[in-house]
Amino acid sequence: MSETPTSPRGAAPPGAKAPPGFKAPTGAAPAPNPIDAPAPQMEPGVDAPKAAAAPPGAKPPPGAKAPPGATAPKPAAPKPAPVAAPVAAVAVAPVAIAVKPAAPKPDPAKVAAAPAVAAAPVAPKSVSRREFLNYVWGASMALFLAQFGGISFLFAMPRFREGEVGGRFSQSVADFGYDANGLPNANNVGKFWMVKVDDTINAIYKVCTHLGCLYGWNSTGKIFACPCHGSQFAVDGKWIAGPAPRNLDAFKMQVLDASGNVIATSNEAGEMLKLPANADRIIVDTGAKISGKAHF
Amino acid sequence: MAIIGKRLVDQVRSTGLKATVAQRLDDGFTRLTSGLSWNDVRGVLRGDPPGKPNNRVKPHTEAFWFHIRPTFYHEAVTTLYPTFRLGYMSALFFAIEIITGIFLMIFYTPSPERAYQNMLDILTNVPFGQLMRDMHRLGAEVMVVVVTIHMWRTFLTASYKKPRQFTWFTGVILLIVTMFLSFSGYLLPWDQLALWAVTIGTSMADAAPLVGPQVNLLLRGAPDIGAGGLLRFYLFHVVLFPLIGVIFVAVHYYKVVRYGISLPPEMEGVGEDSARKVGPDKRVNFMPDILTNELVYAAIAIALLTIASGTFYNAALETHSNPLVTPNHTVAPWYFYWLQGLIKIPHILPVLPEALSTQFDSIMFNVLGITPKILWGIIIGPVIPLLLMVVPYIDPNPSRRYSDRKVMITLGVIFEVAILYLSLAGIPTGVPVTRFGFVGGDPASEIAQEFMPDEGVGKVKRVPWDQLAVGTWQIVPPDEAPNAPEFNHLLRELQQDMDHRTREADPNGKKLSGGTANVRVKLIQPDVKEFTLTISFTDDKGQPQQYSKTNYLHRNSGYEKE
Amino acid sequence: MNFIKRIITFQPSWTLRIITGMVSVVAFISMCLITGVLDISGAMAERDHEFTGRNIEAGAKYYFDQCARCHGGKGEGVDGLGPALSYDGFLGKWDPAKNTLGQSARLKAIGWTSSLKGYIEAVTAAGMPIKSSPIWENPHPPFALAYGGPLRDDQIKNIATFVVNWGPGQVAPVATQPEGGAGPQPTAAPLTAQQEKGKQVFLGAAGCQACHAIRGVAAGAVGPTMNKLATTAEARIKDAAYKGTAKNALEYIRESIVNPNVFVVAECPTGACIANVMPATFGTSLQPDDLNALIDYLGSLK
Repeated sequence: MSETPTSPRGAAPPGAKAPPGFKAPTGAAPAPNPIDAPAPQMEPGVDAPKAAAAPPGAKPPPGAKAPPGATAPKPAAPKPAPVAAPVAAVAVAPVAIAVKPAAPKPDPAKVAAAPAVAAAPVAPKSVSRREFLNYVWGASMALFLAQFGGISFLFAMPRFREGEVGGRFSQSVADFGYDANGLPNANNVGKFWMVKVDDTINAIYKVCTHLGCLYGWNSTGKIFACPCHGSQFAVDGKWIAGPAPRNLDAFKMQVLDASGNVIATSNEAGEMLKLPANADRIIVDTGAKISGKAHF
Repeated sequence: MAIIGKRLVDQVRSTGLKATVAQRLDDGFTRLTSGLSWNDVRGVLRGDPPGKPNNRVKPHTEAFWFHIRPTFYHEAVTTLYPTFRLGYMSALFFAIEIITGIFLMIFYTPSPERAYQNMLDILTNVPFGQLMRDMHRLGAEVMVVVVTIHMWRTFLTASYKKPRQFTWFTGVILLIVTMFLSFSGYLLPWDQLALWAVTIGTSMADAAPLVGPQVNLLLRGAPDIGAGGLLRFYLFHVVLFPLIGVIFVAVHYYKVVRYGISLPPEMEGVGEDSARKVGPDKRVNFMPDILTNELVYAAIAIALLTIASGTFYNAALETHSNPLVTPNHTVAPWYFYWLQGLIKIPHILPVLPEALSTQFDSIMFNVLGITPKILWGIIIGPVIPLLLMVVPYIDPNPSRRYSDRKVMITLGVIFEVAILYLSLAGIPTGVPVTRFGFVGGDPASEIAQEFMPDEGVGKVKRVPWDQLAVGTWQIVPPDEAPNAPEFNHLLRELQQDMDHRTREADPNGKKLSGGTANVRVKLIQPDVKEFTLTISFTDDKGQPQQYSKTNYLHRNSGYEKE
Repeated sequence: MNFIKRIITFQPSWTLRIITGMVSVVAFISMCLITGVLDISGAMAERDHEFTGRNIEAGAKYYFDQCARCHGGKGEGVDGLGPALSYDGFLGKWDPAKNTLGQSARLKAIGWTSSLKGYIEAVTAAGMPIKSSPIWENPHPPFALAYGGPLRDDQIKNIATFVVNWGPGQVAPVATQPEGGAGPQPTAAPLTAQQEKGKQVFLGAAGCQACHAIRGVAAGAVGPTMNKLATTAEARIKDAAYKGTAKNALEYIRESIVNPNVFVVAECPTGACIANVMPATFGTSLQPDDLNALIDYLGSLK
């Protein structure tokens, strides 16, 4: 779509009759009606009369290299001064037209296309105040978006109170081992098995280290086996077979004697812990998970 | 008002009451149709050629819904080929899902305490409830198929080439949106299948390096899927992804109309894109031709969907979700089988012999911290959609003709075969074809799982309740209960399965040895029976072992229907 | 190839399009009508029965997992552990003509004003704070997740549905069931006046009931229970671990009251018995008459 403003009066072809309210530029018979010239921000007949009152854009921006023809308009402007002013407000093509009234029927479209070429300087413009302020504003909006992203993230991330998920559980020594049906005892709230091998114990997390299913106990093979992808683990949590990459995770344990003194704790690798003779209770801390070692 | 009244009175005086009313009605009608008077519409319906000026293009400038549709199509794209109307079908199914979804939302609460009971209520206490749910479920699965075939068609006819690269790109995004819509909806029934399939899926996010645990927490609202997870997934399903979908559909369709629907490849020169240059003799106007076609296709699709949902298709509802028990053979939804297959790839370089593979895995893990699951599932998995996205940008061939694109088409076919292969491996029982992906415990528990699966209806539940003969029945050799043909058939099938597993090892190399079994049926209540399968065998250490599984069966449960 | 090409470039005529469209719309409407009519006339109700059946199956599974050990595999009850559930005293009489259960005699006796199912759900979920009858060892523990148990609400509902489903197939209870509010007193030989006085001392001035339990009389849970004290005492003095000087049951009882720390019993209701908990002053704080009466009473518990 060309930029000729489609005024209600219709796009006037070059040299057409002047719209009412304007003095036609005299002495420039083929001079195209400035209205036909591309004036992107202006509605001819509306802004033009007011343009005489020095529109803000009339002055070429400070420091901007005005196109060669721009400085000319004032002295070279023909009689219709009010017309020239709006023309100068867009310091490009209309200026060119006003300056070269002898140009034979310049096609507004072509002129509209050529303005930058005709009048634009070759050297890059230095940053004007407006441009700079716009950049700063843009940066602040980017900051706003980043901040909003951060707020959204913090809002959406769940938080857990003390003692909710990941609390500490107190188990007795007798809890570790097998029940009457040969199934290892388990704490279903904390989601851990309490296994015992000879006199060593461990609290093993019930979630498989592959993709999060709850593995079960295979009573025939006396191993843990996961129904989702077939990973198998020994009763002490060591990986036997299957796609799980690690041994089973364990929770940190503290062994207390009858008076409440800590007499043993799990080691960093979360291996089976030897029970001292005077052990009374074991505190399993489900907030302190020890990841199983990878088996590669 | 007085002026209008005056004009009205004048008109009545000059032309008579009847004519005035007719004119006013016609005027109103024309406004409603955005430019078509009653006679114009009659002309459309009769199939008359349009008059001059052609009023039928007016709605395309005046009205929004017609403005976003093109005014005409090239006649070469109005037949089934080349588009097969798949893009239209994709959008249609999206709309169907939105509508059926809104109906279902009336009765559904995204809370673990309520969700399952809501599902039961929808199925048993809401007229059309089951139909609506089945249409929504079936529509979702059909939509995934349709959008995939749409992508395939676009690939084959090379309609993604210049200038339509960005259209393809937004299309792949829509494919991902469709998959996520389906996946997030999967959780909502809150039965065992829903909970565990989605747990596995989101665990993949957990396993991603660096950001994994955070993403997992954001998705689930907690380390495990619970109330927070259900609510978040509900919001994804009902707000976020539909919104993204609508936005991208708008962008996608705008581009489609802007460049025009691409012509069949054989009609254009190499590198030519003439879809927009449609001579008047090749134009098929939107109104009435295309509009009618679209309405007919919509009618057929909706009718078929409704008939299928009302007759043979019934979405199952398993037992209530149990965060403490993972059922055997939990699977991802079928459109994610390929992903499940990827995760099961046992080695980073599976083509190497076993010992070398394991060594290479160990090196990769110790040096880079990458396991096969992380490489194939978390890194390569998302790469596949990314690969799809860049297809138009890396394709240097300017020709759209099939014969000129043998390489690309072959690559596409190989890709599709790979996806199918991985999908087969992703099925929990694996398939001998794929040679990997088998998941199974020891033979006895596998027999029990096959006949009495943890979830779903197995062979035992399908036996009519009355034929479950009370008593203890041996399997090897199979006893015969009087007047119970299907029950006896079941016993024989059990015996055959045990026989098969005694002779042939499963992909893990396990065989059943020394196996005997019996089935015990007890009457617990007048309409409840207890069915226990007990298998005795010797394990690999030579010790006698026993495995037993119990199901409770009610007379009315209606398992035979599923 | 040609054939396929003909099919996929087929241009249907207007008539064909309109007819196909109409047929599809009619098919859709018919399907909806059929589904609606079927739903309302019985298909929905049938699905309701099916899912109720499946709920009962689930309830059965949890019942046998959690409840059968105290209430019996047939709901017939287990002596001392749990009442029968599947008999007409609890469920109410089954009316086969109307397919309904009558009023439950047991619930009426204890004054429960809500429904049978509600009672089962409430007791299963929250347990009972005190025993409903002294013939049980322990009150009903809570099973709901909210109260520290292992069961979800839907599982408890299913158990209740299963239990009520015994209606048409009721089973006679195994042992005596509690009747009325307080339940039958355990039958025992009538007490002499002296023993009656001793019982009042037990319940009153001495405050023994705060720590000791006697079935039907007191429910203290700190010190050892005394249900069959006379018989137990005989066994204890013969025990190798016994460190006291009593030669018969009555002497043992006296020694336990007056000099409790001479020999501390191993097992108490809440764990191991701890020395120096029972006051050692009863020898002086009790009147000799009261003390003799108390010993007489306790010696009668066989």
